[in-house]
Amino acid sequence: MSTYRHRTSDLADIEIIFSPNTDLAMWNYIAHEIVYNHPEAIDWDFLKKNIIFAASPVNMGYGMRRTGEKSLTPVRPDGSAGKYSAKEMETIKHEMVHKVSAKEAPALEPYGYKEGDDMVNKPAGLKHWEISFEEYKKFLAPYTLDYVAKIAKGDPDEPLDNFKKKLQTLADLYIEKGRKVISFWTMGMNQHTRGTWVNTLSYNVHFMLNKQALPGSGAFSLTGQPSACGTAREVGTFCHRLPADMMVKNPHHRKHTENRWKIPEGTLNPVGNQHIMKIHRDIEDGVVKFAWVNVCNAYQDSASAKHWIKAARELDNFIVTSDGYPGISAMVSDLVLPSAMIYEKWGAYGNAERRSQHWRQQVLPVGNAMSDTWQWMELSKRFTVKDLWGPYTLRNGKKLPDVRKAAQALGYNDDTTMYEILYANKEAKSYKIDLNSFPQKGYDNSDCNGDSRNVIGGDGKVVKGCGFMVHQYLWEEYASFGRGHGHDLADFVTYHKVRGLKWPVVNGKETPWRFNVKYDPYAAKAVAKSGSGSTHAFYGPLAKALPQGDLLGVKDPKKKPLPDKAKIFARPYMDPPEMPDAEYDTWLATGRVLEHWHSGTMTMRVPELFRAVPEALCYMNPKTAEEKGLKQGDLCWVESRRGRVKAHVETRGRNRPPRGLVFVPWFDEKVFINKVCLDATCPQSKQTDYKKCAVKIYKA
Amino acid sequence: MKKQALSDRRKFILTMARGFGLATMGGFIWSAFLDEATASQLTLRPPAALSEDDFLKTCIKCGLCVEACPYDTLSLAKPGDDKPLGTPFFVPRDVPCYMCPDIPCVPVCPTGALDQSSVTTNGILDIKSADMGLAVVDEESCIAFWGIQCDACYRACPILGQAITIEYQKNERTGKHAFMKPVVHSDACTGCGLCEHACVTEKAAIQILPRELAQGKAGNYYIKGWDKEDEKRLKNAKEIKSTTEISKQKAADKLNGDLLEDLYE
Amino acid sequence: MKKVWNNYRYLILRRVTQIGLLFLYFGANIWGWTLLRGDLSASMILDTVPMSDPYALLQMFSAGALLASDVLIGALIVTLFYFLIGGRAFCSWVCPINMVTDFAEFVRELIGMNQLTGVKQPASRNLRYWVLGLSLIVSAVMGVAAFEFISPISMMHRGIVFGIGFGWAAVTIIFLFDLFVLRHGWCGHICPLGGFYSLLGKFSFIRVHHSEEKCTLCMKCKVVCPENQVLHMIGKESLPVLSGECTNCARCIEVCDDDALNFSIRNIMQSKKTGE
Repeated sequence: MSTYRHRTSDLADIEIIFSPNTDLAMWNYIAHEIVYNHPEAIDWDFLKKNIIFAASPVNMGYGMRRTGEKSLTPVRPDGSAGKYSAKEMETIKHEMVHKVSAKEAPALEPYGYKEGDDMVNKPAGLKHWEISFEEYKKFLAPYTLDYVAKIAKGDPDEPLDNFKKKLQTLADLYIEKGRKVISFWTMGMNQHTRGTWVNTLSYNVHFMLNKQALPGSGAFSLTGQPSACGTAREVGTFCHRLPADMMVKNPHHRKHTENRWKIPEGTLNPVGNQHIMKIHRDIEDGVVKFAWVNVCNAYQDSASAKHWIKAARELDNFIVTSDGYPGISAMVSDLVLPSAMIYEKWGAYGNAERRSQHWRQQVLPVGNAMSDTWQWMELSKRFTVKDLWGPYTLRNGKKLPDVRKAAQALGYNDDTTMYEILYANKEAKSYKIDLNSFPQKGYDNSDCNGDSRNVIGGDGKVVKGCGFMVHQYLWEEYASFGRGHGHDLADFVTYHKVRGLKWPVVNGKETPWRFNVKYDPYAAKAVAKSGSGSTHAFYGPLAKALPQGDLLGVKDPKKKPLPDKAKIFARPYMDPPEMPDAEYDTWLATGRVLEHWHSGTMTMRVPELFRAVPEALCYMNPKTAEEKGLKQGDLCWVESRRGRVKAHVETRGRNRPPRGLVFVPWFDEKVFINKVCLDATCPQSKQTDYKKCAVKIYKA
Repeated sequence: MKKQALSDRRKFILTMARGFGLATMGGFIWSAFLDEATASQLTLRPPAALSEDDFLKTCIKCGLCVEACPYDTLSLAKPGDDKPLGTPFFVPRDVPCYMCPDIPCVPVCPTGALDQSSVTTNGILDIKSADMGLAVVDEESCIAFWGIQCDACYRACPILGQAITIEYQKNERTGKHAFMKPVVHSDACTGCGLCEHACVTEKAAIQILPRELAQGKAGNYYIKGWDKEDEKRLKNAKEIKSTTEISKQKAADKLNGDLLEDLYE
Repeated sequence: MKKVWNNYRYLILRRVTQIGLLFLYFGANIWGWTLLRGDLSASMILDTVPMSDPYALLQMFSAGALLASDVLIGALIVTLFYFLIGGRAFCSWVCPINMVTDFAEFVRELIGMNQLTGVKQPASRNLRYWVLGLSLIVSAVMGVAAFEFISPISMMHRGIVFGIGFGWAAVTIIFLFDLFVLRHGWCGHICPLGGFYSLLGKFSFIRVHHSEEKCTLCMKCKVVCPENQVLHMIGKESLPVLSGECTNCARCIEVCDDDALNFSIRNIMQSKKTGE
């Protein structure tokens, strides 16, 4: 299922080309089929034991800038506002108020909206509440085959009946008794202004059919680029996260973390909500003056790129980029630091199947590059208790307490560096360098021991490393958060003996299917405790007590606990904030090609990969090309309200979009498509929707 | 001894003889040179080119096709290029033919060495019917045959899925992977060379060769018994007589021939 | 300045034409200009009017080629053009090899080669017609345009427009041949293209005309003329230079201080009267 035909479609038995954003409608259609036409397929026993139904606000906006933000001020009579042109404001204005369209009206009818109504948007966070099955059924009523096929058919040249048959077949395949079903998706469902919604809608279907967390059956996000999982999600480097799925917002979680890190209670900043788009916007607003780009290429991979680059270059700020290759982020930075690449250091990563894998340093870094770990440790040497732990007033007015006295109680003084507290502490130093035994024997470790390059450090002396096994310390410290809480990880050395282990690793055994009593010891424990006799237990403490209500909102604020239960969410089809219109008449989807990784900083420098695909093309339907007076191989402009790029037209390539949609991959600096994309995000996950905005195409 | 002066008639005959002799000598040398110089078989021509022999006759070496190509694919052979002098050719590994749907190189040819009718189907220009050569996969150097997923050539092919298809085969060595092997189909392949250009190996594992070089010929007398259409060819099959050494003689002569004497000795 | 113009005006115009044409062809290849595209074998003016080398076509016909209409029309246009203005005007006004052989002659004079080898030509001026005939026979036998595959003229103009390769060696061979082996060797004795245009130019309308009454018999014209057999009438009779072998280079006109030589439209009736 895709908005355009590609290599994976070529390998499929059935191909469904759908209109952007209507994945929301199609998932609800399958649920509708189950509930209305095949209620016998619902596993009521499973639902009663493990699932409740929930609803959340629909008017949560699209993650764009809101009126009153510095860069949207002043509002001018010509329609422009602050640093945004009138054209850009045509789209951004939906963030405050959005008129319900004909396309989405039937789906929003259960919520009391009619076509043409003004929907006033308010950020809603993760707020949700429990509803009854009857409410959920009411919610599903609009998703008939007729309605969904009408709005979801993505290929204007495909007969409607054909499309309807495919949708019907799709639903039948899910519903078929005894048929195992796995739903795989990647960025199309995650980089989506209703991405959190559509992910939960997929779970709805699998839950109702009891085809989840079973061998061969389940909804599975095929993402988990190793650094996203291992670096960011699990470990807690997303700004709203603490290790092991804990949240910065939660004072208990903060306290637990502060204790573990042996820092005074009250040290941690409780405002954990600085996602990438907010950072870019705050820099543009002039309130953030320093940013350090690590392990990503934030100035090439963010939509509405011109705004952020302009802010970085022209405003008074200091941008640092650490990277292995000079990309666009390095180009706009004030300081560029060379980072060691993946196998030039000791490290670990996770992935989508919860497999943690470790590796040892295989080669020395090039030139004077050092690992990100070393860079962070070096930075920490330059800040003391006195610098950071005095009283501080946050931007929102909240005050952080002075914790220096408390620090003294922990044995620190004003001049103790963060390095000594966080990295070179007693516990860390207990992990010794031992070059005579496994796993350190025979392997370089530039961070801990220095190396033969004799890199000169910031102190003018040759880098000899920290002198203790910091990688092991960091791993064990991180793992200690999760052990016993459903995030159990094995010890450091074990991971160097096996090809990774899927957490939770309990008693040396990895967990192949989580939440399944047969395979997951935590699920087994939960069921033993509750006596429910269920096959599954969706354990975990987050949002496990909810108020009651209906589709329109909370009616009984008293929170009812729902231990070990997961949720089926009523979440409707809604339009994306920008759709093709008379002036910008074509959908733009962006993504990748097999040969190039992300922004191409590495892969465009590999001769073989560059030879296979040297440039990003604009893949378009030959009829669209003809309509616009373009020939195969011509240069065309792809222009949106935010910017434009030139690309060569490809009508015969591996990606064959339907009429009315073009696809441009983003690995090529010379075809900087993120200048064109819209920085609308899922308001809940904060991921940018790179897959749909409106452009016009014309000959260059 | 006094040398006798040549008579006028003698002079004339000698001069004529000398002239014809020189002309013949010059002609032979010239012809020998031409034979060698036009012998290169590995030259890839622009689309719609006549067969090589006719092409060499007809190409006037004006370079209009070279100038018409928007991608700088074509070049005229320079002295030292080891190709027939002045004629247009391309090297796919450097710059392949990008298969322009409007084939700008062909209509500009003034002599018809690039024959527009051969790339016209039902009155419309059809670059897919061009025949510049044939892609050939070297299975030993193609990493897909080692078990690695590549298919760069498959994805570079402008007639995706027709000239190159991917054939799947279980990888017995690992037991849980599939080979994804590129297979070229000569009826669809135009020899444009986009595959050779995209091939990731150091020396391209898929290369364009002139068809005469790349292809064999099974011969009419092989019939695929399982193919009903092919079986039909048997209906009006004509007799083909072929001889080997021992079948050259008539039967009677053979029986009474030389071999008889040696039979007992 | 005026003296230079007087003494070299046609030479300057010839070089401007030769180099200008090459530059237009070069510009078409490198910058996409459309005024003149292709090369001296076949070209297009403004992508509409074709021109082609009629000698190349003759070879191709001998080789048995079937040719499309564009090139036939082009040959007709070129043939008609040179028919009217003098066939071997190609040699002096278009051919790039002419610049090489003129330079060889210049060096010959400079270093005294002409004094070494003397005036007598050891080879016949008719050799080129033998080469011309041979080229057509070899074309027929070998099935390819025989001269086109060895022509240093083509190697030079194609080389300038599309890339020289070892063509510079061919040009050097011509230069060395003319310098050390035979005076006016290539253009005056061997080149079959020149021979072809000689035959074509027999009936040209633009001719150099000699006025015997003005002639002071200085013979500077005969010294400077690369085909001085065509100047047989100097000091003897007032006649037009009717031989097709005259290249209309106008060097004789330039060096004549007595105004005894000038271009004129050939007067057919006049020539018939004087029995030429």
